[in-house]
Amino acid sequence: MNSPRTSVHQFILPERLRRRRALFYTTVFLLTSTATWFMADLLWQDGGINGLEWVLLVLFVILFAQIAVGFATAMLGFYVINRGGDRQRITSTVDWNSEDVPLASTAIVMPVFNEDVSRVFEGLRVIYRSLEATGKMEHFDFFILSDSNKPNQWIQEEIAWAELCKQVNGVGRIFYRKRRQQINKKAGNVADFLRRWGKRYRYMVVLDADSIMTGQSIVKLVAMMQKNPQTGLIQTAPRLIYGESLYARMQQFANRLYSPIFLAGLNYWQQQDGNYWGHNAIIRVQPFMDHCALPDLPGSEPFGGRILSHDFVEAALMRKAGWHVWLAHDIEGTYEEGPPSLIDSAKRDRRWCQGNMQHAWLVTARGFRPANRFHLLMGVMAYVSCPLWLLFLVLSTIHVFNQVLAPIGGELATERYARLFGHMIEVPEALALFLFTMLLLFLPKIISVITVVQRSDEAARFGGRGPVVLSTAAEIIFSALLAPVHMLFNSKFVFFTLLGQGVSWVTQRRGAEDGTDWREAIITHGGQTFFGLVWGVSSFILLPSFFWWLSPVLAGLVLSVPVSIILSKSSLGAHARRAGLFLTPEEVQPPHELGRLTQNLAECYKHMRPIEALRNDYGLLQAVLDPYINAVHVAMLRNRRPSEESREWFALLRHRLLSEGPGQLTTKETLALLLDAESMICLHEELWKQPSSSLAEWWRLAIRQYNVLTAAPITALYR
Amino acid sequence: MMDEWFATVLKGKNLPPDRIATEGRVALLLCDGPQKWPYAFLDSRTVPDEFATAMRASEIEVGPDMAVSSMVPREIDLGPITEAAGETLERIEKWPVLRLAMLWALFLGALFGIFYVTR
Repeated sequence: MNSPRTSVHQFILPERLRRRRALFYTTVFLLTSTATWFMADLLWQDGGINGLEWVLLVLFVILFAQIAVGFATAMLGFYVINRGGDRQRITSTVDWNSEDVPLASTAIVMPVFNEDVSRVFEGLRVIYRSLEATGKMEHFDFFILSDSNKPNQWIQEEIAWAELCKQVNGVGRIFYRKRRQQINKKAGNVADFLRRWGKRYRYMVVLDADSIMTGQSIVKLVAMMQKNPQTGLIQTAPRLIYGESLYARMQQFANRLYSPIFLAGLNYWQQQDGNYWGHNAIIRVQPFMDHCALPDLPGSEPFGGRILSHDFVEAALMRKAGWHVWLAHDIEGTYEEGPPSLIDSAKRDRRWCQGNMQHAWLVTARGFRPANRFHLLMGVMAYVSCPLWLLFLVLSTIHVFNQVLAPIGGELATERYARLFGHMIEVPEALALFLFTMLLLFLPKIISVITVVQRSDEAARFGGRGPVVLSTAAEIIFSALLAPVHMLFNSKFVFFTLLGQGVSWVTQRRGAEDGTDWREAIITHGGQTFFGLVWGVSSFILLPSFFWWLSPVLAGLVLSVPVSIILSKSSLGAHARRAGLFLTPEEVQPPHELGRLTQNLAECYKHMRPIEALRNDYGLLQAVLDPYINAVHVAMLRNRRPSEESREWFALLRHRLLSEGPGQLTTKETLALLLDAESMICLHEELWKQPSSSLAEWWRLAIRQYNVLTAAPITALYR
Repeated sequence: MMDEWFATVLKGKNLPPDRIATEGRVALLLCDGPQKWPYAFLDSRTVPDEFATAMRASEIEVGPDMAVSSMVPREIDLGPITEAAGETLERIEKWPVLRLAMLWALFLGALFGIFYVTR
């Protein structure tokens, strides 16, 4: 570490931290042991534990331990919040009322990949304005790091960037960098930025394309970094916002209502061994550059090769190098968006699954802190637990099948009463275990509701006491229905990953429009419905009482198609909002920045879309036809001296483009032309000079359309 | 004509000839020329000083001056077990037949397991 060690804030003493962790792990251990007792007793009742039952028991321990981790974290968080908060927080290192910590040069970086351009740049505008209002703008520069590989997207980004710079007077402060080769995806994108400009900045704030952070929150992050020179990374806890569909609204409600106790609990036991979630975080640049360049894993994708989920690993490497990683869970003004539907959520999981499974390599890496190993393991388990759960349920069915074939003592083990240290409790053993599991799953949610409801001002931020309780009940029902669907999705993803089926970095669909249609839902969930039906019918034939035990799982699977469609509907989301359901404080009392962004986006989406015939190549149209856009685009390209052969090739491409239209060029050829400054200058001149008879019909239409849409001398630039 | 006009207005910026027109258009856009000085464009006799100054000051900056540095990946010591697993995996990847055989073995194992537990 090369940072000054003077005036370092003294955080928790090692002995106290050990005690906290001992409490956490002991809670997990005790809960898991108790549940395992019940389970083992249940399996034992038919006269011992056979091979199948041992497998069931081991699976149960693994799965229950995971539930216990969540419960223990929530309970510790509840304890912390109840006693007025934890003094051991990164946010408590600065006295926000009296201290004015001098800031340092900070880059705000936003990697983008074929995202909604309006959302990206309007979001950036809001962040810029908010930061400007703090009066500390001189410390900050903004970077849009584009990896977009669609011509339309690229040109729209350039246009939006130029216009944003002009409108907010941000020339020389807001920068746009487009990579020619998208090597190593997001991690490579950020690394490329660091190699070019990293030395100029002490910190960087990493945003996602849908992130919003207020100026105050960014200034606070920098101040905390300045005050804690041993800290290498501070992660904030972004709130989910702008949910329109029922699914997104439920997710953001759950995130807002339940997360405080989980986050407080997480901070309680992890302290400076925190994690990095990839965005809405501040990073000390130099140590990040020194220690967090990621090597490839052994083997090739999907297991090996490039590390896809880079964030957890980067946090572990920072910790390994001795830098603190903190979770600023109580900092306000940090937001992100969630997926609008169940299917979009599954698509995102498909990507995350492969990345998280790669972490299995790193769990035992030398030099990593135990807490980081735990984070990595939990990341792996987030997906691996699903096929294990499925296996547990399938084996349980087989077990019941065996018991039905050869019942012992004329009754099933599930119907027998529970025994504790030899004393019989007049509750069926299986029911006791079921209730215990439900308690662990739902008590944190119930406590969260009680915490909010007991204070009228807090309840009002969620729409009032009644709506909070109703929304929670609905959320619990829907999340119970969705759990088995996620189980089957993730089991499939894990299986595909194991078979070597890689995942591509697809753009997440943000902002639901009309939701999932029947065709998409049936194709996606048809297999799950069929599986649920077969399983349900066979278990009912086998043993009706077992069917009823399975019914919550079966209901989710059988109803997956209609549930997926219903949850994806924006109209139902709007109804729920009007009815006061799933409201969050960000909706009831929207911060200025979010209100502003909503207004700006509404303005943006009013603009007329290009006509159908021109839509696919509208970016190219603008870059060739419009003098300003052409100029902005060319000004951003590097001057190159191509060889004679490539000049000839480009001349041929230009000729084809103008005489045959862009439809005859491949995306690769279009991108090649767009990357060649000389070609773009020539194309602009040739298009306006050539007689229309020598142009393709597509260009003639484009010129007519352009003249209609743009009133000279106003530019056609994005307004 | 337009190139000449831009060359005159932007004189002193030492732009390469093929870039004068594009840089000129960018400058015109950034200084809001068409809105603020609607009659000045292409007028060689009465170019307002303010407009000419704004044109010369306006240029696009895609990034600040580069401060190139290296960010070299360092090997992560995965530990002895994981290293051995990694080496095995890399070996398997070189022998696709072995991979297929392992998949078959896995399938057979699953079949055997199901057979065993349903007896």
